[in-house]
Amino acid sequence: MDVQKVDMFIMANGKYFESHQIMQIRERLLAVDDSKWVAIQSLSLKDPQTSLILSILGGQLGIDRFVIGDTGLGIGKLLTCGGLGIWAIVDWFMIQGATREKNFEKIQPFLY
Amino acid sequence: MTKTRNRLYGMVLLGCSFAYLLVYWTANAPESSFSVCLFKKATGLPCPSCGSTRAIVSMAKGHFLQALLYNPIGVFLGFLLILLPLWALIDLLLGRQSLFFQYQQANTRLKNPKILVPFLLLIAVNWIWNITKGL
Repeated sequence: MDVQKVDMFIMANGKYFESHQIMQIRERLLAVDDSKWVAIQSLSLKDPQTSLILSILGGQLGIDRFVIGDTGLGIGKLLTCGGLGIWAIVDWFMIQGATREKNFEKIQPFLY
Repeated sequence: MTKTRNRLYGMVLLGCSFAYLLVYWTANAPESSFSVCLFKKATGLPCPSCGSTRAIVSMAKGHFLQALLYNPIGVFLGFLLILLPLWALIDLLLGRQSLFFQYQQANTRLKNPKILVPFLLLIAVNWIWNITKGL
């Protein structure tokens, strides 16, 4: 894909990924075929800040984990009262990273 | 892959040891008003799994019916509390990853709305029951 398109994508979606992943994503995007552009554009990436708010408000019930797509962990959190209250607090600090990891996993199939 | 697997196993073992500590503590100090539940502290209402510790304690004493009346989720968690650490330890010792594969399978299966929605409804009904019981 052309540099302009890729840089536009990176500028618009940089906040959805970890900073160390961005260079890798940029390189891969430059290498992949133009036909994947539409699919990459229509990916529904989750905003880390939204999941942080969800984690603070509904972390006890596992809502943050459900939203980012970790259904198993969400159920685990829901059934154990937010992991005895400890996991819920730990997740206030972990959830943004987890969201970015999930976004990276989501974009992976289109990069190769 | 290995990193995620080890993280899951670590979480299982750490969580279960905390749970055992909490159960031991509750069993020895039944009158204390200590609660790990942030939800209950914030809103005054019990969360879906409130009463699980009491259920596990009464199950350990052999009162199954009372455990069910406290919270059915607690009975389920009580069995998991015995099964999961053993499973994780055996997997780690033998270098297998059967628990991790089961977890991944359950994760994909739970994403199916036909399973997830009834499951969540069941928990919601249990939650309403919890609130009316006033745990």
